[in-house]
Amino acid sequence: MTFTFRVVLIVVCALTCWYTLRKIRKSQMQIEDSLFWIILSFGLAGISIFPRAAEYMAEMLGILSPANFVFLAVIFLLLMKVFTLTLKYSQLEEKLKRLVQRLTIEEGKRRGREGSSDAVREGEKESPAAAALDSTKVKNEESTEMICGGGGRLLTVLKTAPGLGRPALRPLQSGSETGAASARTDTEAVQQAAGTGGGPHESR
Amino acid sequence: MPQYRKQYVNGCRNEREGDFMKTLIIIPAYNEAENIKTVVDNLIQNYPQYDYIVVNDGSRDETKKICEENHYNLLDCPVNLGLAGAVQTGLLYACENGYDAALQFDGDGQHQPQYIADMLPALQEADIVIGSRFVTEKKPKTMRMLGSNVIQLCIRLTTRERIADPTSGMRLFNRRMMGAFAHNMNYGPEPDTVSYLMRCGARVREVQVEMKEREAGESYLNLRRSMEYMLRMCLSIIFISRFRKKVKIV
Repeated sequence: MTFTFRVVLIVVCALTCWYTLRKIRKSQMQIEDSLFWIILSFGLAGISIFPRAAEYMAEMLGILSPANFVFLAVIFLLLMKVFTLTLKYSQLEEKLKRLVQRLTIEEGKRRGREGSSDAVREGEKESPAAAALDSTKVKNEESTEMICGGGGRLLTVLKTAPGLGRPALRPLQSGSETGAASARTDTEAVQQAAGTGGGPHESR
Repeated sequence: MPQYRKQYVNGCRNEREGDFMKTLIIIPAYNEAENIKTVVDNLIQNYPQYDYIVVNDGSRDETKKICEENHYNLLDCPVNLGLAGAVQTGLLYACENGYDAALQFDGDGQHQPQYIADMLPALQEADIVIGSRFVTEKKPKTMRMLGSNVIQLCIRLTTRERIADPTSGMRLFNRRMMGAFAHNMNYGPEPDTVSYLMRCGARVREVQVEMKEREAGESYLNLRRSMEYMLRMCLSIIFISRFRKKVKIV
């Protein structure tokens, strides 16, 4: 391995480390995912500092040039990385699908309750209260959006009525009054948490 | 409802405001059908001064069914998020419902609720309180503690402070920490985040607790996973946490 090659290798490793850490600082990458790149950088930097290791491996494998061994090693590692990424991608797709299905079914249930003939008759009696509930619900989603960014919609699915210590959580549909009251407390609590500065935030 | 809470003397009163400290116990549960009933029943019957919430992390066994049959407070994740995701869900819930303190509590019966009363007062002078097995008790020098010891050393190297039980899952957060963990990326409930926050100036205190051995079911951590976890934590603490952008902890 020529000296230039080793210098270039070290410089590239340093740049990779720096760039990865930058992504972490900007909350664009998870720390677990970054470890592969950090370890790879250190490994390649190690080879350029101790070229004897690459020379020895090249001899063992019958490769003429140690630099060729470095290429082979990097390609092999990249193949492994692509494979694990494929795995992760498959799992993410599956999770997304399950999530969408859960959302669809919950929406369907909700529309079923609202749209059924019984609900229509009830709805005539309760419409002013229902209108109040709708407006607080919209405000709720907005403030959730503010705090959670894109995850706001996800949260509305997971969120359930507050007021605990008692065994049963009251679902939102039973009695629009309780629903409206709890939706109001939700907004208050959310604004409160936002107001008291919900802790340190890394800039996006 | 507020009068109901003030009756309980066991809870923590915030001396300055004279208010009850609204505490939420977050119980992440993944395939804990055998243990979840004992754990939650104990909390309901013997510790009603604390609120609790079970976060079902997409369990494939009857955890969800058991929680629904017994009308436990339940947050049901449609897909598996992992421990960090489940705890974060609980913390998001805590933030949105105006809790003053949130406690991460295992669903396998290893954590003991009687020590929560010891941990809550420590929040007056700390941001994170860790329920540690080794504050007054001596830490055994066994293979099992090897991982914990290595992580403890890494934390000592980067923050110059001693955390005797860094992998303890019994962690109490104040409101500011709740908000941070709930709304940011790379804030897993793990020792590397704790060491990062310590470098940012967060106060972390340990309180002596006891933990039982796991009663039933299987632990997530086998040998390979333990080693991976340890390696990941050490690399993160030593190489990454010190380069993260520091945030101001007021």
